[in-house]
Amino acid sequence: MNMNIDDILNEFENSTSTKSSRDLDNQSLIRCWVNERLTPDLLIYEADLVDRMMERVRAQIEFIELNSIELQNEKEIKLTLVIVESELNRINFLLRSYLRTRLSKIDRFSIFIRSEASEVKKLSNDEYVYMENHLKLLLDLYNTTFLGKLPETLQKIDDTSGGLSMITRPDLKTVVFIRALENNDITVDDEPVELIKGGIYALRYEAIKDLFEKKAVEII
Amino acid sequence: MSIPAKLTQTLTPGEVNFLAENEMITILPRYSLDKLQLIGTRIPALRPMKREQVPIWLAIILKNQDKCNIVMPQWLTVRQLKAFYDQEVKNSDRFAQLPWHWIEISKALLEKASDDMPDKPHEIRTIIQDLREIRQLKARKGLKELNESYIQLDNLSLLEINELRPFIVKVMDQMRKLSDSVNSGEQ
Repeated sequence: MNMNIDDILNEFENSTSTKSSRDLDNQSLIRCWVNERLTPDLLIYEADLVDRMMERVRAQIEFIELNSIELQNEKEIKLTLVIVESELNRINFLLRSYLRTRLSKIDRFSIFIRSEASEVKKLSNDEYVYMENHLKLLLDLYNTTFLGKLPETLQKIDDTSGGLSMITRPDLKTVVFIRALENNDITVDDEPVELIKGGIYALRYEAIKDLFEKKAVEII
Repeated sequence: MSIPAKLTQTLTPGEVNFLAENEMITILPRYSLDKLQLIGTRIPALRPMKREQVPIWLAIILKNQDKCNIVMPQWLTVRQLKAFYDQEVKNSDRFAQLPWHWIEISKALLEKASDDMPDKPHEIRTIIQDLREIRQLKARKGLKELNESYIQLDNLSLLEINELRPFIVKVMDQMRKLSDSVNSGEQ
């Protein structure tokens, strides 16, 4: 036996914390980002998760600032800082891309989102304020440049009469790629489709939206 | 523009690679490093010659500075890859079960850690290329089955799916529109 006590302690520590809450948060953020990127509609804002991650990002920036001033010449801390900074950049990228993807959906669907209480609930407070201000600016621009000059009957931007809606809404019939996380039977076009655990399928978002919300499939 | 329109509902190859770099890999440190609390994970204390699991992005940083050797995943050997290739040839109707990020991981390791490979890197590279080609060929043949309702793509990796994504989404969308207008015409 040439294991020393440190190794044993280490092993114990590793086995008890193989999946720390930070690992789980990191994985959920990755998942949320992929989901937001690959689904046609706006998903619920992950407020707690983003807050926790932002808090850790702030703490990590502080750590970098503290250590880069004081210990510039020590080799060990240099490598540590390289690692810490690379990881910080990776997390920042995820957070930014997640939020920007949401903003692009909010821009596209603002009129639709405002018309449905269930959609508004998916926004964070900041996103709501952003949406209102952005839409107001856009409408002011439209009104002063051309809408104001049109006959009154043609001035609406949310007209739904005549069987044709002017409101851009998410196209739930868009094709998405999924992996089934459990066995399920669904119907697409009156045709039964058997989802087998682990199988990968491309099909319309609306066909699996419920299963996606129940976490029975994941979007890939 | 908060995000370019071409990035909606797809991922870039760079982003797929980003996902692959989060996978874990075993390293053999040649250097001590105290354990480190990061935002999204905790790095265990590294001691020379004591195997540890770390994310690939970290393994590559350490490898670039010559501070570790990377232990190749079991599937990344000539023998195992040949077995996968044989399966691809034998079963024309399905794909061999390669890892979810096999292309990105093998590319990164061939580039950054080919000296840690037990097999000759050029042999690995050749066989990876062969696998890539036979799978692409099969995927294209399989697209004949494309209809407006669904298609099954078991065992394709994320990068391979991402390559097919624009084509499949567009074709299925057009087919749906065609069949919708046929149906409404009948009524």
